[in-house]
Amino acid sequence: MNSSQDNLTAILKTLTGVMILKNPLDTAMGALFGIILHGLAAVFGSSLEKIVNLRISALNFLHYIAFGMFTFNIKNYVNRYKIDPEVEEALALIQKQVQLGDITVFEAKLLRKALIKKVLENVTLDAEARSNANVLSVIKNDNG
Amino acid sequence: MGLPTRLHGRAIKPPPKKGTRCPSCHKYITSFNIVLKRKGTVRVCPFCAYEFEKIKISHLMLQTLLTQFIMSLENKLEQKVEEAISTPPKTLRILDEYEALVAPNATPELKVNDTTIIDMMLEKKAKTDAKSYLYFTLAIVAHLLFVIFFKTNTNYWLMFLVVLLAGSLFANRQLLRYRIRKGYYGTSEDEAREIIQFILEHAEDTDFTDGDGTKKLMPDPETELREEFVPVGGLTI
Repeated sequence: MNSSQDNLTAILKTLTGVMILKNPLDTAMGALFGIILHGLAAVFGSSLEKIVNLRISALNFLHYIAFGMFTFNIKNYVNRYKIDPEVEEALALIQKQVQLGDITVFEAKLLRKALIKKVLENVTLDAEARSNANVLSVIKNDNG
Repeated sequence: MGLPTRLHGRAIKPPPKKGTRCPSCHKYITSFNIVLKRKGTVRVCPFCAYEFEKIKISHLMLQTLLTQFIMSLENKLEQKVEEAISTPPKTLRILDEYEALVAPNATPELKVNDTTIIDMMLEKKAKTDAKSYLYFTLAIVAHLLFVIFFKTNTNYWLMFLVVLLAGSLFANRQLLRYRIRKGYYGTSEDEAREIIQFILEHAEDTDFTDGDGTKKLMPDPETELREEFVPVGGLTI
C-alpha cells in the first residue's frame, strides 16, 4: 500500500466531500434555487426596494446561493442518520489508541475495515433473524 | 424380340456367359463383393449376398479392407454419439417433464450476482450524481436566461462557482473510485463512518447477501505488476 498516495487522496476526497456537503443533489438544487432567486432579485429588486425599506441590491450572488444550499440541506441535517453509539465509540477508540501510540496507523486502518465487516455481518444476521421470525409466524398462523 | 435362336435351320447356341454361377440365385457373377467376416475374407454374391468360400487375399488388399471396415465402424460410432447428444437420456427427459409439470411457473435460475457492497453504494451515488449535474447545468442555464430575457449583468464568478461545485463533485467521485481500486477505501475514519452509515441506512430495504453468505465488502484491490528477475532452471537471467 502506497501510504503517500493513500493520505493525499484521502485528504483531497475529504476536502471535495466537505465542499459538496455530502448531499450533492440537495446542494445542486439549492444552488439552482439561489441563482433563480438572485435573478429574480435583480429583476424585481429595484421596484421592491421602493415598497419595502430594504437594500436588496446589497446582497451578493454568494448570499443567494448560500441561502439556497442551506435551505435545501436543513432537512438532511435534521433527519441525518446517526449511527449506533457503539460503532461511534469503536471508531473513537481506534483513533484514541493511535494517538496514544498503542497501535500503528496501519493497524488502525485494518481495524476500521474489520469494524465495517462486523457491522455488515450483524446487519445480515439481523435480516436473517427477521426472515426466520416471519417464517415462524406464518407457520404459527397456519397451525393456529 | 430376343436374339434369333436359329439360323439357316441350325440352332444357335447362346454365347457362353463368363463368370461363376451363384448356387443360390443361379445368376452369373462377374465381379464378387469381398467382405471381411469373422471367419475370414469371403467372396459374396452381389445379387443375393450368398457367401462363397473363404479366400486368400494379398496383404495389401487386407489392409485396405481393414481400413475400410474400421472407417465404417467409426462412422457408425460418430452417428450414435451424435444421436445420444441430440436426444437426452430417457430418465432425464422424464425428470424434465416432471419438473415442468410440478412447477409450471417456476422462476428462471437466478444469475450469480457478484456485486460488492461498495458497488451497490457507488450505483446509488451515481444516480444522485447524475441528477446533481443536471441541476448544476440548469443553474447556469437559469442565470443565462435571466441575462438574455431581463438584461441582468452576466456574473462570471457565479458560473465559475457552479462549475467549481460540479468539478469538485466529479473529482470526489474519481478519487473515490481510485481509492476503491487501490484498496485504500474504508481505512480512514470518515470513510469507515460513510460505509457503516450506508449499510445501516439500507439494512431494511437492501439484501446484502448472495448465494452463500454475506456479500463481499469491496472488489479486490489492483496489484501492481513489477519487473522481477525470475530464476529459470537454476540460472538467474
